Amino acid sequence: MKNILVCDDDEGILDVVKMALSDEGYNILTVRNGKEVLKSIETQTPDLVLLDLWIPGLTGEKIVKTFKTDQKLKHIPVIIFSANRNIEKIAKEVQADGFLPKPFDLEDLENIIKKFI
Amino acid sequence: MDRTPTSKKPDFISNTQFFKQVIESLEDYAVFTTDHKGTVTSWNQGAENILGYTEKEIIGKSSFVFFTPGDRRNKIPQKEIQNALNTGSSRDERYHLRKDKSRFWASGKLFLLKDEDGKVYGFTKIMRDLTASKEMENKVNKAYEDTNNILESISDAFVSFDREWKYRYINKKAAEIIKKTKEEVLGKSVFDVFPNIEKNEVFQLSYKAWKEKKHIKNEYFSQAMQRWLEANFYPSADGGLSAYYSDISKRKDIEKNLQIQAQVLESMTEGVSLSNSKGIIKYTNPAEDRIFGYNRGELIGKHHFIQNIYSRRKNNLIMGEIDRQIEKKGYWTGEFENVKKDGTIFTTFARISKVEIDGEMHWVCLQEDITKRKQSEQKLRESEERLRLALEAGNMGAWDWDIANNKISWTDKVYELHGTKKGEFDGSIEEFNKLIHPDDSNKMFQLINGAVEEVKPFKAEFRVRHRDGKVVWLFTEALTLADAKGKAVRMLGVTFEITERKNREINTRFLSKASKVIYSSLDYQTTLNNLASLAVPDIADWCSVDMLDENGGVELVAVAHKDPEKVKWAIELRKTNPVDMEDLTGLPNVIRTGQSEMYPLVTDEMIKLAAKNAKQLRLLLSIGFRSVMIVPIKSYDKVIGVITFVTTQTGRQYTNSDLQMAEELASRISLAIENAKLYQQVEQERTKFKILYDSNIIGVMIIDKNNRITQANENFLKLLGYTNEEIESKSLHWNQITPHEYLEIDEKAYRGLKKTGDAVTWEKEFIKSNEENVPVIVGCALINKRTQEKVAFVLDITEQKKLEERKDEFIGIASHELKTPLTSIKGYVQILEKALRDTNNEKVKTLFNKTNIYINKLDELIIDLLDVSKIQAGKLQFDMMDFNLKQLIDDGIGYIQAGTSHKIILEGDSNINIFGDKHRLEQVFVNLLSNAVKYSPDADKIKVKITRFKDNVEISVQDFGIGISKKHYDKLFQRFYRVEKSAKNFSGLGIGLYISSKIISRHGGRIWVESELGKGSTFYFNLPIKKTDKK
Repeated sequence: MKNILVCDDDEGILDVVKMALSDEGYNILTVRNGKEVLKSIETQTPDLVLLDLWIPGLTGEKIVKTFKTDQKLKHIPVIIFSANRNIEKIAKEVQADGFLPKPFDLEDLENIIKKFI
Repeated sequence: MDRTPTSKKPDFISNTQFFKQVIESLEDYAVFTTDHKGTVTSWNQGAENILGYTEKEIIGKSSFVFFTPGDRRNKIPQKEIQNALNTGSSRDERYHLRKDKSRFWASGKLFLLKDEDGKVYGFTKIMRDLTASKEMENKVNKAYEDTNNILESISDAFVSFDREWKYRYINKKAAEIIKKTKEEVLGKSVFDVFPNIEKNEVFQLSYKAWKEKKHIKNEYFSQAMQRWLEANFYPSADGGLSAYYSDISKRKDIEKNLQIQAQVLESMTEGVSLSNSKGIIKYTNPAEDRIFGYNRGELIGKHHFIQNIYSRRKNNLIMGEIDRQIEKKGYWTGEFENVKKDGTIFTTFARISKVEIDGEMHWVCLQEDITKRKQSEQKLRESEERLRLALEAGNMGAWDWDIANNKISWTDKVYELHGTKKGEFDGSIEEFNKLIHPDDSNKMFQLINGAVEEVKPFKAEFRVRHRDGKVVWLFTEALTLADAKGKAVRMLGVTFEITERKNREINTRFLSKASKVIYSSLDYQTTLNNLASLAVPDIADWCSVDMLDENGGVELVAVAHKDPEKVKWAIELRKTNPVDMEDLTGLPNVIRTGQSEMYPLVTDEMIKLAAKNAKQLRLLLSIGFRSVMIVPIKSYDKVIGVITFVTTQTGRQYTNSDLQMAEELASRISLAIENAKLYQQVEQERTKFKILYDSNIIGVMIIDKNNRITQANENFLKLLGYTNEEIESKSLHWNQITPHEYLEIDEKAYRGLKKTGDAVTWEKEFIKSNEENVPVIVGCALINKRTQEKVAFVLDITEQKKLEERKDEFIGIASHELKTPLTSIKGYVQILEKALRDTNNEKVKTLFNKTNIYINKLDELIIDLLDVSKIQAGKLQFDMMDFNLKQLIDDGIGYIQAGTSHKIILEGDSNINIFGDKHRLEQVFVNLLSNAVKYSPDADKIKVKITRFKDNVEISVQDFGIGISKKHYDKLFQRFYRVEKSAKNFSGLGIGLYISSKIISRHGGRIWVESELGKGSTFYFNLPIKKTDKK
């Protein structure tokens, strides 16, 4: 079972993503801010990270950078999702592996995850 | 002839046969021999022929018979023989006698016949009949004698020299001339007679003639004789010279006379012509030719009628008259109108007489061109006439003052000018002084005395007082003449009246003074009072100003009188005799008509007509009116008052120029009053503005044409933190306190201002003294179009801007916050949909679809709001790249077409490469399409048109819906703007077009609308075409 780490400060979104992806057979771990992401990966390395850009504490962008500059974490696909229109550009800039604009269709969410794991 | 006189002596002739034959053959010569006594011994045929004797008859006879009896008595034959014996031969020429006793002239030579011993035994005579030659000689001698007689008798001198210059002949006259007798000179060399003759010029000529063997003729004046001589030197064949001198003094005199006459004629300035009885010109002198403009001699042969302008008929009449005159007194004089060769007409004075030449009558005409004289005569006449006319026209009089005798002579005009008559003025300078106005007398006499003392010209302007009290200004100008000692003895001058001019001067001076008064105060009550005082006494003896009151009556507002005490009286007079506005003349009439009235001379009759009753008549007569002017004062063409000028008995009489002056004054007063009113208005406006300016509710500044701030109020200074000193030093420039990015906007605003002249308002920022920017609204208006001076009102909108920023920030946060739950909602709905997917309940499916549509709509609204907030914050980002327009158009149409029943029709080729943010541009296109759908609910189609231009591509979206009024065109693209009416019927935030316009302008394009209410709208936008894609 693949582990997906989802980070968003909104309880509703975490809930929806967890529900939707659990049904698809993924193991979902949810955190609410950047610090928790870093804390979580110390105990368990996820197979994929789904990251909201606008989160309290460390911003999504910094977290992506942390992942992509760390040799141990580099291989983990990071997908960012945001209500920001320029998400595609930001994704490129921060070297995220994928992006998903908010609000999204669950189908799109599933499809993009399937691309990586 | 073989017989010999003696036997012993051989006969020469008979012995010599040859000679005998020769002698016999000489038939023209008589040859015979005689013995020593003269007895003929032989005889030849020639002797027989000549002497008539035959040989037989004469042999043995004495040869003496051949001599004439006279010669024989004189023993000539014997003498001849003796002579021959003495000298060997004898020669003679004399008459001889023939046999018939006739005489003949013969030459003969007698030779000695000698025998062998040399002893003379006889003679041979050879004789020739010279009768023929003797006759000739006689003729020659006669001729010679005649010539001699002639030469002797003539008055001319004749001298003949031989080849050795010896006098061969000299006639009586010549001898006389040289004062010698013939005997003294004949045969003598001229060089001996006149030792110094070689130096004589005349001799040198004769010598030349002799030497060169040619005839020389010379005329010379002989000093010795005091005569003119003509010398002719003829070289003669024998090497001599004949000289012939004739006295030509007479001829010379005649010649000289002729020459003098000719010179006189040639040098005369008068023309002289001679024409024959037929009128043909035979002679002209150079002056004649010159006067008539012909070349020398050109007139000769022409008819003299061509010289004048008259017709042939007239000429004949004239000639007839001339003829009669000449008959009567020998000559005719008169003027001719002549014509020159070039056609110029001129006048001559001619003197014509007759002269007989070669038996024919000739006209002699002497004439002189008098055109110039005529002209100068004419000129003189004209100038005299002019002078007379000038004096007359100038109304001038002339005067002559005999200083020594103190006597002034005047022409009639001068009497008139001084208001006196002949007989009333005794001509003394003292009497003259009495006529001069007392105020001018001293000055006048200073001038006169000065002119007399210094003997210089004199001129003066002075007044004289006429008997009737009238004061007249005169001008006089004179020359002072001095005697040999340089003492002034006489003064000649002219005098004329200058009252009018003087009055005009006074008027002009008054007008200029009055103008100063008028414009010195804006309080016209004061002005009018001053004015009335100014008019007295130069212009009027009495001046009053009446102003129209509100009730249509008049109020006396200013009065001045020559006599200050009469001012009160004048005011009183008005009270007791109020103006009757119904009066047909005077002040009421001037007020009614707005036309001035002038009475140059007020007569008692006029006063009688004007007076209303006996009491008034007495009063008016006592005032002694002389001249009156009443002039209206107008304001904007409405009569507001009247100014009255009056002179009394001693004052001046008004003329039209006075009236003009009065009207000019009135119009200046009117202008001053209008100005005062205008000034009051302006003052009020100024006050209003000043209140606004000083109240500091709003910042105010004045900007010059170079955008320099020349003035600013407290509020403005406080707002931007500058000092008044900075403004006053004019160091503050608009552009200097404007952030760079606003200069373009400012420029645009100025252009609008300049173009329309209307005030413009715009938002901008200024840089404060502390270098912070302050957002403001600026309203700017032109104060003066010519100077381009502007006034700008500045309103600080910092607070509003802050508020806006907070609002935009709020919108940003809010929309993000809205999106988050929306994402959750969308997720849950999808999960729910999935959970219920298998129910196959159509109603559920429909509900899910509808829920999704509204979720999407909500999503779009949130997106738009976010965009707006980003635009406001300047954070809207663009992802520019190359892309093909076709994909954008197709995607956009596809997207909208899916959700509408309108048929979207595409025209034009959209296969064009563009550089831009594809998503943003699609957002614009979709926005326009969705608007088109939204605002044309009843239509069934939407037209999309792609038009390619050289530099850009234009995309238009046309709907057939409700349309938009023109007044909304610009505002449509503003933030949150919604057309009021449609706002009620159509939902929306009014930000779609705002965002679109921002996106398009960021791409360097333009967005606009064309619409018609009820018919639909077309939205256009264009985009620059990527250069590499240009075809």
